[in-house]
Amino acid sequence: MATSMKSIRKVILWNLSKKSRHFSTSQSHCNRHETEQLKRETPKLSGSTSEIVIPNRIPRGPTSILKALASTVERDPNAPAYYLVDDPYLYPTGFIPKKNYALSKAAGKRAAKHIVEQHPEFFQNDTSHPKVEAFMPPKTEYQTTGANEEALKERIEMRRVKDAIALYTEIKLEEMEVSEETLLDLLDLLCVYNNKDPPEELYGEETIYLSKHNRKAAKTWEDFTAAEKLFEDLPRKSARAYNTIVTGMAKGLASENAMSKYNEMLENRIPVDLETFHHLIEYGTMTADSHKEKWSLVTAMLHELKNQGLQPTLETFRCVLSALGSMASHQNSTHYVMKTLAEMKKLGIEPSLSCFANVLDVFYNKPNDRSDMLKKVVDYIWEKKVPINGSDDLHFFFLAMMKNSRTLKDVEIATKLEVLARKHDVISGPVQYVSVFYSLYFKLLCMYDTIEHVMEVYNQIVPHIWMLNTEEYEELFKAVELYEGYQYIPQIWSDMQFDLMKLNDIVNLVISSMAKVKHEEQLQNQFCDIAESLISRWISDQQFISTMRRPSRYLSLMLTATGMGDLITISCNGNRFNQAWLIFSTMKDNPNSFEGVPSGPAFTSLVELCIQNNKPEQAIDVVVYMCEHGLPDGKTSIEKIQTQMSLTDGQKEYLGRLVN
Amino acid sequence: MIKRGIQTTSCQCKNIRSGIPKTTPFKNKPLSYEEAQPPYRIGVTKAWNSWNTSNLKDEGKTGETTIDDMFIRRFVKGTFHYLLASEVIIKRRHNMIIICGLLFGSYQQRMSHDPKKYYFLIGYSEELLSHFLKCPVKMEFSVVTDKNDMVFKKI
Repeated sequence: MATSMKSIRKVILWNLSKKSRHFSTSQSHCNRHETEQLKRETPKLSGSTSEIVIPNRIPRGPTSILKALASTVERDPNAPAYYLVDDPYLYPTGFIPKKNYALSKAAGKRAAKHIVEQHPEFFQNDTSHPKVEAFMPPKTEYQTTGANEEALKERIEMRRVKDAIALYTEIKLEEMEVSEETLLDLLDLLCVYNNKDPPEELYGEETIYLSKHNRKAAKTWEDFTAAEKLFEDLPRKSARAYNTIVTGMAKGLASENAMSKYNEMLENRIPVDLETFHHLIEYGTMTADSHKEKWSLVTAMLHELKNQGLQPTLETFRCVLSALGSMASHQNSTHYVMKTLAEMKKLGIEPSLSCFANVLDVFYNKPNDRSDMLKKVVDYIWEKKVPINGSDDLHFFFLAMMKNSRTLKDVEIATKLEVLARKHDVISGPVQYVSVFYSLYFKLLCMYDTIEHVMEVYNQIVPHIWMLNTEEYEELFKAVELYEGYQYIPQIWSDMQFDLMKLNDIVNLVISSMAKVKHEEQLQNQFCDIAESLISRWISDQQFISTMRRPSRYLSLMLTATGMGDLITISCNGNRFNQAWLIFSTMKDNPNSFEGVPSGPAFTSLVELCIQNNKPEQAIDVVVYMCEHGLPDGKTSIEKIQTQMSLTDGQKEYLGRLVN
Repeated sequence: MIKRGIQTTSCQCKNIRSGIPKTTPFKNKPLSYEEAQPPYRIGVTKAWNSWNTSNLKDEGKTGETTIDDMFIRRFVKGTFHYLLASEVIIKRRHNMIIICGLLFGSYQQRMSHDPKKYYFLIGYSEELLSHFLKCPVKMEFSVVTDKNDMVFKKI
């Protein structure tokens, strides 16, 4: 007790002294810094024209401090995702349970929302200040009814597209007057939501697992819809009406309609908004007959933009690059991209990540494109710190990783991409992108990097960020065998215990790489323990299936004959005769349970182990099994037994018959 | 009435241990750690069940907070029926209410529940209570797989 107290005191004293030392050094550093500054400033002060230069005010938002604080932290790879419960019982062990739990939680939220909608009267008590609209029960009933302008306004306000259309037709039948402002608002509503009710909002858990890749390819705008009819009905077709309808058509990929309306605007000298130009450039040119025509359309629109006295923004260039991305197979597209980027630089506009995604689309269009654009882009992002807006930019990272693993196969680029993605929490986005991103990254690492680094990355991302699938396990074990990183196998094995769905696919892989060579004693003992747990699990599974009523979705362990042979080899390497014998007898007693043909070397080593342990009966059993299955080396094994063991007369005779 | 109103004998002081469970003849009544601590040990070996600042100087809404806490406790007890292994702890931080507690992993040790059910209930309670109390509500539960793990002592 006394000694421990003493040692604690010592430690405290040592810490204190270290702290005070640190403090004094920092103080002296401060002083020196100040004096240097003073020295530098004194000549200025002594001069007659001394002026105090007040630095420019840096505009700060209400969340600036929070953002600054947030930039100092990053995701803890050992922490589970926020939407899951950090508890051993409730934490999912594989991808499928993870998805199920997240969606169950979202389903619970939906149930609660349903109750709130059904009984809004119980949720009226509001103590919040300022008022939080999101927690109030949603308004489902309309305040005003009947065909009049007020009711129409209310439906527009509540974003009820179908009801608004129905009411508008009613108003038109009764030939009532509606103000132009309301009609334009209605047109806005119809064009923004494409004449349909807005889709239901997804919960955070659902966006991760359910959101689909929504790259627009097909036309969603229907001809002669309510929006077009309303546009024709308008008494005076103002600029706002034209801009709205053109934007709506372009967004719905009705390019021809949009272009004809756009030409109408030009003829009637109606000013076009910048946003309308954006949509026209991005989507309006999609149905152009050839790439050449498409590019000429884009350039014509850019000229028109200039004529109207508008200044292009980042969004404009993004749309131009997106149009270029969709004509990536054009021979001059790379040239055009470089021209666009040069123009951006001239105007001092920093490209965003979605711009770069389109650039990559153009530069790596064919599988044999080997330009160094990707490296340049990644270095640029790495150094310039281009703003990364979380999961919005997931598409860029996904695309960059895909292009990299298909063409360049550069580990450095992949590592940089992964570090950036993790730092900016891009990886909490939709799981289908994230899993492909990590799968590509991990496979690349397994192929081209050392096993030490692979395992370093593995420890950081498994299991909370991403879990390996069968393909990646195959690559990982290849890398383990190549770099002889057998010491990592016990860890990988214990990690994959949780995911029973995959276990059957991988178990034979693990066994075969464990059986490759004989290892030093401690590691070999660990391998033998794994083999023992496998065989006892197989036996208990068989008993469970045969004795009890089998649950409908019970997954029993499946082993192949080669796998069993490998298990015997592992046990022989570890000098565990009883275990090897148990595996062999299991195999002999259940000949139909194991697929494939057992391999020879496992049995010769078992025979040798029998000889070492002086078990003639067992050795003869093994030899008989070898002969029955026509395995090679049967005869040499028999000779070995005959020469190296002391046998009874009956056994000698039996072996003699077996040879003949 | 008047006859009963006057007390002439001295008080026996028999029931002074409020909040302390009585022992049973065979000493077989299980108590959890929290239950085993007498009330005067609150703040020493046991913490409070509600954490908020309503009793500090110039902080109002003591009554509202208490009633809200009662409501939350009843709601959680009803929603996680037969599942709660401990008292419900309610912490208020900034504009957030954090509800903690222990849950049983199985009902009467027969069949263990699918964790999906817990996730459903957690999502449901969080959303409904958020709408009711007009502030974000988060639930942080841990699961006790064996009922006997909860027993601190038997009296």
